[in-house]
Amino acid sequence: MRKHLLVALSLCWICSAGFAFAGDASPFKGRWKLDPARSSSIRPWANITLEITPKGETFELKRTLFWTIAKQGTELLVVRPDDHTVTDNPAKYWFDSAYNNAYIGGDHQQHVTAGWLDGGRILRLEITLSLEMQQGDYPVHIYREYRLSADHNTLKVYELRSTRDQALTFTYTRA
Amino acid sequence: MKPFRFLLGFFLLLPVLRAVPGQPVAAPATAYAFTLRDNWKLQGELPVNAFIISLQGLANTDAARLYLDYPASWEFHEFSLVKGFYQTRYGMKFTQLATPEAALEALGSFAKGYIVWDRKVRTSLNVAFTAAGLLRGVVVDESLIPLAEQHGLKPLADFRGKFTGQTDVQIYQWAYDQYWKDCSRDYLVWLGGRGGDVMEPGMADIAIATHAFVADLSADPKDKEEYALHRKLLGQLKPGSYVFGWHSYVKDTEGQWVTLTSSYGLKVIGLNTFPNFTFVSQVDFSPGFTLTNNTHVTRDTQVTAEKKVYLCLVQTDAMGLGAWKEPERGQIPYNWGLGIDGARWYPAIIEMFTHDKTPNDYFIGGQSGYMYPIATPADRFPVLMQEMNEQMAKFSQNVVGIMDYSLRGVPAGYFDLPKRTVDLYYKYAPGAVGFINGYYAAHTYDLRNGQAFMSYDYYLDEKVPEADVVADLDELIRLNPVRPYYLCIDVREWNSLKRVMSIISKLEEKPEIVPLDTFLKLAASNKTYKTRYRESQPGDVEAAGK
Repeated sequence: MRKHLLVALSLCWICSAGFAFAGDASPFKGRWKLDPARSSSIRPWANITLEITPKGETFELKRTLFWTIAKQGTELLVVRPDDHTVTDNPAKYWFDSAYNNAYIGGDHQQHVTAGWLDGGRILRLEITLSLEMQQGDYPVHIYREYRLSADHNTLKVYELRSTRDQALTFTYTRA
Repeated sequence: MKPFRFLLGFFLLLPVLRAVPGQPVAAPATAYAFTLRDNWKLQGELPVNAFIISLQGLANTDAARLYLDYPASWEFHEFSLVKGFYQTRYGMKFTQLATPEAALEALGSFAKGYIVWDRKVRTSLNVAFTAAGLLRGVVVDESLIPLAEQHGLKPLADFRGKFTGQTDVQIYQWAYDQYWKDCSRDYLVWLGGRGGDVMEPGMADIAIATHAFVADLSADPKDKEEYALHRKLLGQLKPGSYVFGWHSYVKDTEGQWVTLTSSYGLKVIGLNTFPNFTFVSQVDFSPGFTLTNNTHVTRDTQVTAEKKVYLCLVQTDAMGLGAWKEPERGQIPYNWGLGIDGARWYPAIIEMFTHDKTPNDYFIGGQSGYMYPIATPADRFPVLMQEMNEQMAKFSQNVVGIMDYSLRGVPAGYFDLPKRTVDLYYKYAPGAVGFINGYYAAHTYDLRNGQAFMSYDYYLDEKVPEADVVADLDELIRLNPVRPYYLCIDVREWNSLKRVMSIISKLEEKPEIVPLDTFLKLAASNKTYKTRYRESQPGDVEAAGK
């Protein structure tokens, strides 16, 4: 009986992890485009694309923000969704809340831990970084979830920042 | 005989003794007016509008004689109020000219002939404007030749078919070879703006009045030939010259263009759509009016900042975009960009906006805006600063506004200034209460000799929902935890005072709103900000020069 329970639990774990961990088969994989009408304000950016690429045990999340053809910004996060590995991601610019006077500060890196929730339907990120402000560096913690729809065609990103009492929502559809 | 010769000489010299654009004199008692058509397509009504603007340039060369009513959709439509201001404040009377025929009847004597442009070759119109200034002719397309001839005008130049199949640089090179030797070395006119089948040559009148060369050559180095000819023109202007108009939206960017003009120490007054420039630049302030400012501190005033958030609101688009006319103006301290060139080039418009200032309205001076200090050659900087200091003193302005957009192509941080530029401001503006820098938020901060050098911490975009702005500002205040915190906001474009006041009322930590000169003095009294300058980035204009 105990053996059967262990097998069942193991299968359960494999199934839930498999939903997201299946590498090239991951439903998160692909190019996503923001739907600005269903998202928090991203001005001055006009649009954002998100490219998710599974690579072995890691995922690359490449966000490209478009202002004009001549002006755009790219941010790359490499994460390992195992709930404990911290990946260090160099960052040159702070793109969010772009009208605020905040530059990337500290060690100019975003430190990210990642994991799966709800059977692999949700990719969870916890990010720490420093923002350089008028008065100097300030530590910021970001909690972010990437939630996949049942048909795998909509990706909702929810974000909470330790410095902001307003949750942000970004809705992406497949590009 | 002698009295006759004296009188003859007097009348011949009369135009010389009268006004010239940029040297305003007393307003005329009467003037003509004409309503332009709301269609700027080459195959639409542009020919008639271009013809009337060229007539304006000729008639207004030495006095304000013809005022044009631009359509309500025109870019500078707030300036149209100035006509009513001329009538009510100056007592000027306008005679409305209903048709092009009536306009030629009344003012045709200022034309020696006509120049024909080719509707099939857009750039031929810019060449025609150059020729019009030098040859003193009105600009017509084929359809308007009979009208010109009915009024006794003779052909002076005909560009029909002349430029067919040629590139812009070939056409402008021909114009350069033909006309440049006789053109002004004090002014260039850039009739860029919208491209394609539309052209909005609002500043063609000043080109004709000042005998300026007209072009819209590219400022993008990738367009090698156009860029080279562009530089050739700029390089031959006298020091302190102006470029009037605006760059072509289809050829280059504002940043590229102003960086290039600034690299020759030249200032820009734009846009290509600026209406009635020959008229407004020749009519001075009304009798008895003096432009003054509500200063709250002097260079030597001592203040002490308390442990709170100080908020300063700057409308950098000046008074022209609506907020000035709102009933809420005067309820909170508000700061308005007012560069030094306005009093020289459009005094009545400045007077129209400023004559009813409230004690809560404060005007910021500065040479910058259409001159990027980083790109300005070192030998021109002191001269420009001397001019700025003299003009600001006249109008009791004591804060210098600065904006530099010479760094492009990077997604953030491009309004910061390198230390060498900050050093120049401290050196050449020692009498200023302080400096405010940026457009988007920037991180250039300094404090020397009691003069705070601050940057905007927030750009208030009219299109961001109010709740998001409140969240942005609450976050910004939280990210700067030490008190006092100095939060200066660039309030952009059509943001209303009502919206701004509503946003401030919703902030979690209530700030004290102060005028900019006080804000800078407070910032000088207790430095809680880090000294910081631009860090070198790819694409930076590291050394000014040609």
